[in-house]
Amino acid sequence: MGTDPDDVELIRRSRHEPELFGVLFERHAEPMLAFFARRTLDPEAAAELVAETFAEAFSSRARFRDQGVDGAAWLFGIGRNLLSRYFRNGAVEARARRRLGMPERTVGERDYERIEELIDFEEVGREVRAALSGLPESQREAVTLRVIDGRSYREVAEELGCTEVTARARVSRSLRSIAARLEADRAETPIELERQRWKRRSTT
Amino acid sequence: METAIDYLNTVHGDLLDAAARERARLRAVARRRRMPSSGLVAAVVAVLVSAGLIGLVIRSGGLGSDEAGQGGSTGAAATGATGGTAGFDETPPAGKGEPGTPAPSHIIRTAQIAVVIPADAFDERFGQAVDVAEEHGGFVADSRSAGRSGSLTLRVPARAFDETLRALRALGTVEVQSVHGKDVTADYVDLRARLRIARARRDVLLVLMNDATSIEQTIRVQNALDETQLRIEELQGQLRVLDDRTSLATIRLALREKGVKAEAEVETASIPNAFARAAAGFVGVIAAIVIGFGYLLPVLAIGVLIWFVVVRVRRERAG
Repeated sequence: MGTDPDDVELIRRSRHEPELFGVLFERHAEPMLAFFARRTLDPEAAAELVAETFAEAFSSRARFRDQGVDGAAWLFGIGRNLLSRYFRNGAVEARARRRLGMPERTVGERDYERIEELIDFEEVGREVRAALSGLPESQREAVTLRVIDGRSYREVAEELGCTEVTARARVSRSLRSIAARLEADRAETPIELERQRWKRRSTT
Repeated sequence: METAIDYLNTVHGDLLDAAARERARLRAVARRRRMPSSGLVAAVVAVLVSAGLIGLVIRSGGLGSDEAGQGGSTGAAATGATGGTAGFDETPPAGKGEPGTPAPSHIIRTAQIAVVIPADAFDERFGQAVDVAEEHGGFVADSRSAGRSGSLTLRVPARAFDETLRALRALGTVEVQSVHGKDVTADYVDLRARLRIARARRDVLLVLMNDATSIEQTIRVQNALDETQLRIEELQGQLRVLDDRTSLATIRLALREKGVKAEAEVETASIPNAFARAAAGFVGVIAAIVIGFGYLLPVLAIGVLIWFVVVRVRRERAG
């Protein structure tokens, strides 16, 4: 998975056979979701970024030039652009999806937890703890309960005396600011490293 | 797509839907692009060619050019007249009206007709053509023959024109036929009026001549009289020519045996000739196309209208 040399071929052929883009999605959507989840620490944003990345890639597939860059690198390059725009604007763009007539989907309850599993909180925990100190009191508490203590949103809400939606919003907002801070510090992770990390995860 | 994450499955479906829409769009674009490259060119060529063909058919005298059919020899008509220089009758037939006699209408009628005859029948049919002219009170004004093809210029009384033409068509298979009629009634009336005035003027001058007392007067009247006399003769001459051409129709008949080249090609090949024929051919083809367009235009208009309706309906159905 991922390093399949046929990616370039697929992108090229998808120019006239658009449905082949579905194969690319099958191959790369999940690793990409994990990539975005780790970067954004936000399941909703990560999911939307995946959708938007593929929409954008689909729209510009005719501009793809085979210059030694493999197909996955091209896809992740588009994703990275959208990611940095997300950090700048605080929202995931939907332009490409709108252009293609793709509806904006919401992330369901079950997905929320599953995507968070992809984030691998332990790995980012250390970095997060360092970044936590810079957060406002209420946000830090919510993130600590959810991320460090590993409590469910219902429990976080009970603890903080707010609704579950508010708890989630607080966690998500604080994670986003942590992620933005981490992103600023962190050197760009090479695609290959991302992929290996994904492989490691999927084999274990 | 096999993943535990519903969101990805949903988006996968959305992406495939978008791909299907894209596929439909590509197909539509391809169709639109393909049209001008081959379809449109073919359509234009087809229109031009059919316009040319229609024009040619119409110019060559209608669709039923071989209606007369073969075997038009009327048995006894085959008399001893043989050879290229078949009996010339130089004397115009009688019954030609006095110049100036009123006539209901004056039309110069000319016809050109090319007839293909069976092999080895040239001499016989050539003679028959001469007979046909004479039977209808006409004569051969000019003739030329070369081997197994030749041409005749026949003059026949205007009233026998159609009948003569019919008889000539029966000689073989009509290849080309064109009939022209030019109404010169107005010219005729005009010439006669001018003649009447000139004659009146002459009468007046004659009276003046009698009354002239001095030499100077006599000379001046004499000059005017001469002038008027000349004018009268000119006008009479013009009337006579007009009368000759209206009372006697001209038929140019080209005869050739089947398998022999058309007479026009027998004529000596020369560069000026070639240029002239090239120019004539060029003009002819353009003229044929223009004529054909006139016939095609209404058909094309209807076709385009239908095409527009079909495209509109299809687009509405697709949208």
